Amino acid sequence: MSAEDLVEVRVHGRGGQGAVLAVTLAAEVAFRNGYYPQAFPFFGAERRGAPVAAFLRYSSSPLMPRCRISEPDCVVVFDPLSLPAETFLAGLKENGLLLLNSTGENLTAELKTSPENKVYAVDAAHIAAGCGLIFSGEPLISSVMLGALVRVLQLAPQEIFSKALLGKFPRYEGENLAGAERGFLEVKEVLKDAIFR
Amino acid sequence: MKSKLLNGNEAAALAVKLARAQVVCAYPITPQTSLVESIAGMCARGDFPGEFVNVESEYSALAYTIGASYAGARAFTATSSQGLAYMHELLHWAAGARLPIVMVNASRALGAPWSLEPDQLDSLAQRDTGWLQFYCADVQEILDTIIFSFRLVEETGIPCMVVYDGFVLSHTHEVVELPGQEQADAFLPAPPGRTALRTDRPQNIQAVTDYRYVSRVLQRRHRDMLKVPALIQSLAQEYADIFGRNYPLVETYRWEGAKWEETEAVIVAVGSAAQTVKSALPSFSGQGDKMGLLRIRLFRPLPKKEIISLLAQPRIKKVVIIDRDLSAGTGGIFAQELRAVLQGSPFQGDIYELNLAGGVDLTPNLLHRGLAALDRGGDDDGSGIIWGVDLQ
Repeated sequence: MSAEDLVEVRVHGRGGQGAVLAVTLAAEVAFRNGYYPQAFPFFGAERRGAPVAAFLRYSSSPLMPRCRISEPDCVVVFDPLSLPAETFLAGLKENGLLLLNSTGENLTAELKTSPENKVYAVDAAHIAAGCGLIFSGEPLISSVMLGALVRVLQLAPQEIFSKALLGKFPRYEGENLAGAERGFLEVKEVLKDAIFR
Repeated sequence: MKSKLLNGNEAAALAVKLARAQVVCAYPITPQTSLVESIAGMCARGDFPGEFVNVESEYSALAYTIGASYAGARAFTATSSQGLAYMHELLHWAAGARLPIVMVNASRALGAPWSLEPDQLDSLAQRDTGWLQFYCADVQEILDTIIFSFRLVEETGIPCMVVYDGFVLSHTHEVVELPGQEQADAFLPAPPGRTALRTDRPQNIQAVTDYRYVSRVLQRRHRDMLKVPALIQSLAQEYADIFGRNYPLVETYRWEGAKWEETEAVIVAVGSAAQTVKSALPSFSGQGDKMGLLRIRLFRPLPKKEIISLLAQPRIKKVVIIDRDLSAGTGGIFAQELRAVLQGSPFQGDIYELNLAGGVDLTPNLLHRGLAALDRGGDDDGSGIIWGVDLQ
């Protein structure tokens, strides 16, 4: 028995954006859909606003490695304009997935992805604002990115996903559940040429 | 019993609650902090049976815990790294006074320089303080080992340190079977409440004495330690009957269909690294080596008899000991301990050291590179160590 269907995800965010919450709740969804998950933060001291990473690993077998993730199957970026592309693309597998918080049009960075990489975008800031997830003038995009991540990984069907999240958000449950659902429904695969001008 | 997603620190806090600890006194330090916060939070919500006391340092935290234990309370504390080092003097005291204290140490490298990496030298440097030491491999085991340890310390009068890797376990969420209070109560009787402090009979305790008494005390502590592995095995059976999980003193593992009796090469690992080795073992199956894993779970006292019976077999030609710690100038501490155990045993094979001091992350790739390096021999500095940091 070994983890042959192992999936490894790395999420890039900034301290306070909820990257750790997103992977923890994604692990909750994975668990409710029958997987063995691990969710863990970057090993270090977190500071609000500073770049952080969080990790998700899941498989149908509990026999998974227990180390940091350096060659992810999927990379999620909360704030693509704040990080050099080579930082968040580091180690992404050739057939890996890239999920960006983006309108799909506002990225000008030159992204060197492989032809097999699939790129997805979700306009998380806009959706979060629409769900009332604005606090201290900043959109809280964690639940929207979580919904989009569950969709692109095909981690669980929508009904399992929504049920798994009930009672799990520490605050603003209604707004976050709405944000997660819209992230799930509105994430789109984008043509790389269109965004990587 | 219900399944829940918990990280190591949350699971530890719930275990302390299930054990009905009466006094918890701790000082926050990364990566243990969220454990203390979790207990303090339960206390603030009226959801914790005991008292949580905040103090200004780790030294005071253990001093207070010792006082509570003298008074007969079921007492718990938790720390990491420099915090544990700061407790050092009182660790000796707690063991000498035979106080049934349970402590968590979330492993973290010692400064200088400052580091948050999961190096295990912090607790290994306390190996001679007379505490029992368990090293946990996953979050479930953290929860189970803490509940188990409260029973063990009260039966032996020997304090116990439950060690788990900082971040790798303290901050990793995974699925845990959360026992019910009735299960915990069935395994762990109400605190005995034996107090050493009585207002009706004032006395001086552990007063100054001479070598004749001290040497007897130390001899007795040694002999009592030697009885612990057998006691753990019998309590583990009782634990398994109630909770459905049976933890051995040392764990052996091969992949599906492979028998330990056919093992010719053994990787020795401790803590969370063992699971990475397990997940990687099938990828070695085609290379001719019949490889297995031996995980040391109980480090103090070291279960020598069990280790010898598993490793000192003529067919076992190679033992690779992974250490995430370093006694500078000598080598890994688990490697030293195993060499000492195998010395004079029928073990005939070669011993190799793969050293991950400083918290080098053991990935399956690094393990492959480490094993490929065995035949080239270790560092030419004369120690023969294969350094993880050179393989990255």
